[in-house]
Amino acid sequence: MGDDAELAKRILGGDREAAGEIYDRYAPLVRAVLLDATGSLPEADELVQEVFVRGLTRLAQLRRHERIGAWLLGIARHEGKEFRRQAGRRRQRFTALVDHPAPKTKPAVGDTVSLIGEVVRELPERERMAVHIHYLCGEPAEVARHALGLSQSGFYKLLERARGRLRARLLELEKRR
Amino acid sequence: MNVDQNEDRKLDELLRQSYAALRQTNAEQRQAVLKGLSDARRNVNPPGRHASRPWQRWALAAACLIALFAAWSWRTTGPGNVAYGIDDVPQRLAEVKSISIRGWQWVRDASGANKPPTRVPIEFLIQRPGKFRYTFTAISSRGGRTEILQGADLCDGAHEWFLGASNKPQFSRAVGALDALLKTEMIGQIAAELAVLGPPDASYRKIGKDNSNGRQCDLYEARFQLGSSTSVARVWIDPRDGLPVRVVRDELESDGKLSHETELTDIAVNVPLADELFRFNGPEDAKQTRPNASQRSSEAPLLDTSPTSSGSSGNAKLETWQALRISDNAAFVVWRRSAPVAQADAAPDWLSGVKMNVRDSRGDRELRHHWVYQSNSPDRWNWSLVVPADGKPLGRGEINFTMRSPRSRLTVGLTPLRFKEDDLRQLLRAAQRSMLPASTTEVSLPYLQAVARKLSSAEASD
Repeated sequence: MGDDAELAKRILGGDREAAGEIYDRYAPLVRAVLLDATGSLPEADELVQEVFVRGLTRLAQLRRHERIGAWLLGIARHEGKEFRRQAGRRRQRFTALVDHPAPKTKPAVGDTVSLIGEVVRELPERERMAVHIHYLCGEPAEVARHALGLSQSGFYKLLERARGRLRARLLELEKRR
Repeated sequence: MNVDQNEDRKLDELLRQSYAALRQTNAEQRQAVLKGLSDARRNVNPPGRHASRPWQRWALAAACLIALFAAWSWRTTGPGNVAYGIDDVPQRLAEVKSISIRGWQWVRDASGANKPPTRVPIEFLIQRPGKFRYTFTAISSRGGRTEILQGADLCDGAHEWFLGASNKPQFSRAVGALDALLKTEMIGQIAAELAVLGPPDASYRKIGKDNSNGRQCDLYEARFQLGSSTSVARVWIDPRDGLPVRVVRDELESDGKLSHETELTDIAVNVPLADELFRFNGPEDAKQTRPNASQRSSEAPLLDTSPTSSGSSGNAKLETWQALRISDNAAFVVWRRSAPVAQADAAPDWLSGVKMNVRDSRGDRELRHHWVYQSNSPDRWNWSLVVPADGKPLGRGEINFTMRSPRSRLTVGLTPLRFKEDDLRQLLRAAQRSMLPASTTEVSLPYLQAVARKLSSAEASD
């Protein structure tokens, strides 16, 4: 993970392979952030491309190259907000799609894997980000250092808090069933 | 303790499973990102972060002055360095080697207003000359339920396959090179253009600038009728190459709300498209399940001269084959009709009751007509040359033939296709061999162009 800065420099020098490596490294996390905002995986997927193209073409504006991951996540959050704002402004009735239902309807309680995705989305933002980073990044502590400004121990404490909340919420849902 | 550890492991496993979909690699998207980056870089020189040296500042100031002068001279002397607008899109799309358009269409459920629409993919892949892949959606309503069937039409330049639901082949046929060329242009210049720009009479206005896929675009908007509904379309055009980058089309509902209709998010030109995309590679037993006479032949005809559009009512019939653009303001049209009512002591007039016009965003314009070959038969094709009476270009206009009879009014529309001159010559030669008697003098492209010029200046007479 220490070579993010090196990759950023190579991208600025026109190296496509470096851009591909950054995509491979951060696309899942960017997708997760956009999924939180849009509630639909296809919508999130469409925005991922925009986030990367926008972020990498404006990379020259980034002062600390080692923060490229945090920079992309920032753009993803902005894109997500923009998506919600536009959706609200256009009073779009059809956010839910038949092929990928939006999370407005209660997920089937028996479908624990899909349920857990919904429960993660209910977490406070920083805890949610900690969970995303832990399950989607190769070197989570390093990403968390730049994206959340946390030390390694701080990150794992936050992650543990998130897991505790997840366990409690799942237990609560289980009891309701 | 063990219980806690087990719970932890279970939660961990569930979380890993729930993140699996997000972790999946999307090779196509990765490629699109790299392409978007290259495109943006080709046109934008990113500002350096380091403090510039004094000579760099002077150089920058000089460059700005040159740029200002260039902008001023462009504004005052006319478009030497053209910034393309939306009117150039059809021409630009006709000039590229390959087109890839992908997006989504939202189909509403007819059974209830509150049901969410279904999103179905849209896909047009064109590889000139002669290869295409086109996904179509058939929507029907049965017993209050909406049925959506997706199919595809693909051609690798020598074979064409029609695939029904679940990619099941309906039939396949051998096609000649000219037929493949013609069909590819029909998909590229009619179907794809309709998906991007809407009907030919859609009138766009520029409403501002916006960034899309990292490209600074001019944003255009139009409202038009599609059937009984009103559509609001927005098209992002990159002014540097005159090509669309994104298209969003919404339906305007009676309460003023907009609902998704189509969205084309992935539009690329001159991109490499693998040959496999244009070929059906299904199981052997899935071939030719519903062939007709012409499809049973393993040898492709020189040119398929069956009608591409037609209308009929009672004994009245109007059919067209193709309209080929032979210059900016002239088209060669192949058509036929049922026999006109004979007048006493006079030869039948095969243009009686027929009106021709061209329809675009400026409205309907009358067309002047010249017979190139008059078949005098309802079963053989007529060759006509038409030019707008106002002398202006055909533009995106659709040519409409309307035939009135005492009991009916038939209208058939044709989009005049653009071809390179060499291709046009070959098409004319093949069409003549397939349609006209062998004794007919050759109808050459220069001849048609000369007649069109005369007709346009109203010197020609039938």
